[in-house]
Amino acid sequence: MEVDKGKGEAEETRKVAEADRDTVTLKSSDGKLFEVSKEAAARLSTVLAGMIAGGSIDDNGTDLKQIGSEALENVVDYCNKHANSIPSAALISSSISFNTAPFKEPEEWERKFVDRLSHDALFDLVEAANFLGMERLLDVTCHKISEMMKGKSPDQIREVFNIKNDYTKEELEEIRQELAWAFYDD
Amino acid sequence: MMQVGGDVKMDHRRRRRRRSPPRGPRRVTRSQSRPGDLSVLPDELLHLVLARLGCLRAAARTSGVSSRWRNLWTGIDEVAIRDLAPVAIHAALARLARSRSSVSTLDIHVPEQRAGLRVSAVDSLLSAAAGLSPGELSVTIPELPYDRDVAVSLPRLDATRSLKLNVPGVIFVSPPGRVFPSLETLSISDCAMDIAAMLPRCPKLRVLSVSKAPESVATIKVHSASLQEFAGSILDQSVVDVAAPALKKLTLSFDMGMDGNLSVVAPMVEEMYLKCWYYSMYVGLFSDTWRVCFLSILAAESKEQRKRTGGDTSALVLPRAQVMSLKILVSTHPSQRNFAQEMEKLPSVLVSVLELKIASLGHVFGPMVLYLLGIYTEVQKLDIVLLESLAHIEDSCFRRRCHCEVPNKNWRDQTLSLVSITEVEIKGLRGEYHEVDFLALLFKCAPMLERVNVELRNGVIPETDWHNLVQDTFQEYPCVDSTIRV
Repeated sequence: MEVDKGKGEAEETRKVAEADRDTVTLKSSDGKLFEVSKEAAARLSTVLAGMIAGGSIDDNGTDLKQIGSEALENVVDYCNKHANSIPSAALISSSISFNTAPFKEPEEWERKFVDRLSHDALFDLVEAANFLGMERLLDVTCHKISEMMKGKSPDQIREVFNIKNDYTKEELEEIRQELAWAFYDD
Repeated sequence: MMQVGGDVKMDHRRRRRRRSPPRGPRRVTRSQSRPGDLSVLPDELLHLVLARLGCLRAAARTSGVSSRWRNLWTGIDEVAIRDLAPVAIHAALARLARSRSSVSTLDIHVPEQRAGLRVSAVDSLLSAAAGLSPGELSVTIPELPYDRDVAVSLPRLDATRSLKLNVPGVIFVSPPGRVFPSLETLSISDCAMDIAAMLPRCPKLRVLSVSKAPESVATIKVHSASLQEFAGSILDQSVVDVAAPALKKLTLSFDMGMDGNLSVVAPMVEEMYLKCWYYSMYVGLFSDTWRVCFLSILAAESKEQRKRTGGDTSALVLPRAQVMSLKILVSTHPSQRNFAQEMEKLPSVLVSVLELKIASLGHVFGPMVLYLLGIYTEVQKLDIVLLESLAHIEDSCFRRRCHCEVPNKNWRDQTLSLVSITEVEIKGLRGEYHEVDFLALLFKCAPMLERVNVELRNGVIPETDWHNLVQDTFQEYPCVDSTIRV
């Protein structure tokens, strides 16, 4: 009896300790483990927030089968950097939402964060952010891709993003005529 | 081991999309893709990228990239138009309408160089925009050179939750019987609308913003049962009449000459900001007047929250109590508006924290502060900042020869009962003797005083006598925790 009781108490203590842990462990599709601040994860990811609130976080590593280790490392890196950065006035939401621009400009550190990524790493991060419901990271990564497209012709976009042209000349001309308002000045 | 996709609460919309097989045969899968090929992303994410190009025109041009991209742009949900002439806007909206019945955001900005529009073009643009059932609609058109104060009917906007209009020269009217059942946010800038007639047709309206209303609008009448926030700025109007039982936040900023009528009935209001030039206080000064040029009233708790986000942790004040902040300056132009009378027109407040920023130009401020404390007898914390004058403005007080104390010489001997005050902070003292008199009076009249902090202005070295007098006063009340910072 005595022993059992002691064991029960230990179990209790362990559970309490788990609940109090301030990090969560995430596991990538290729089995690598990453630790991330629980607070930052819950604040930045609606999916992780739901899992933390629902108690479905696994201490040995919560499986995120859809996210590769490189993308997950970037996600975790972003969360940690975000936790350490001081939000600018623009990010503190005002109760009147008359935003003309529906998208908020990335912060300086967020720009640097995405600037160092390869194209493929960036695209993977877009998908990871979308999967985890990380609105802000999705915003920042999509913004980065759009920056790379801005002011470029279809030919230049194909070149930058390594996209194969499967149009015939005639098809391209047809599109230009159909969308004359977009391709030609009046 | 828990896996994503169990009974976890998550965004079902996203999850479903994510799991559905890629639409259309053209999507490139990861294994077929070439390195750095953007086409690996699913449509819904490419829509997000295209929406961030800033203009629908740029998005539409990507149709020339490859067959996968041909109609991708028509899937954008947050549509912005910045770089198209009105005729092209019509073509673009018509093309979008062929692919989809609604968009979440439609933000049309007719560029300046395309000006020269007639009012009929505004009318047809609005109708075309309304055809896409936008959840949020914003229309900005530069000044119409040929038309002035012409009426344009608002189209049916049954699904629209937010409407923002900036079309100078236009008076928006709502046809008889037209209701805006979903509208929650309405913003009108630089153009006119009969707000009094519009508000009863917006049963869900929560937020209203009116800025730069044209002179032709004489009265702004805001009567709404649902309204929670009203912001009015740069108002030339002589009559502002607000009656909103659910209103929580009120922001009004008036033009300098404003000397009209203000009426506010808003029993639930928690935050008020008033920028004005017309509240005079005839206290203490002989030829000049104290004038309040900015006033804010916040619920004490929201003010505390704001401080906390700024890293400051001040003690919590009772709920319901309010923080009143006033910016006060000295002016030689008196106004007809008396501070106390004007305050009676606003919802009544229980001020527990009084923050004063005073540009005193050297004048004796004691009588004016005592006057305010006489009105707001519940004040627990008094916070005064004496502002430094601007470089080119000289003090208008000439010490003993100044008239500033003439009408109220006896203020030092006043007996007031300031039983609520526990905390006083004054920054920017100049080392003048009337300041010591004011401090001594506070100590005498505020029996519950716990803490007093005073701070001299940067670079001011007070006379030894001044310093000794302050120290003597502090020592007379040893129970009060008093400090002076030089």
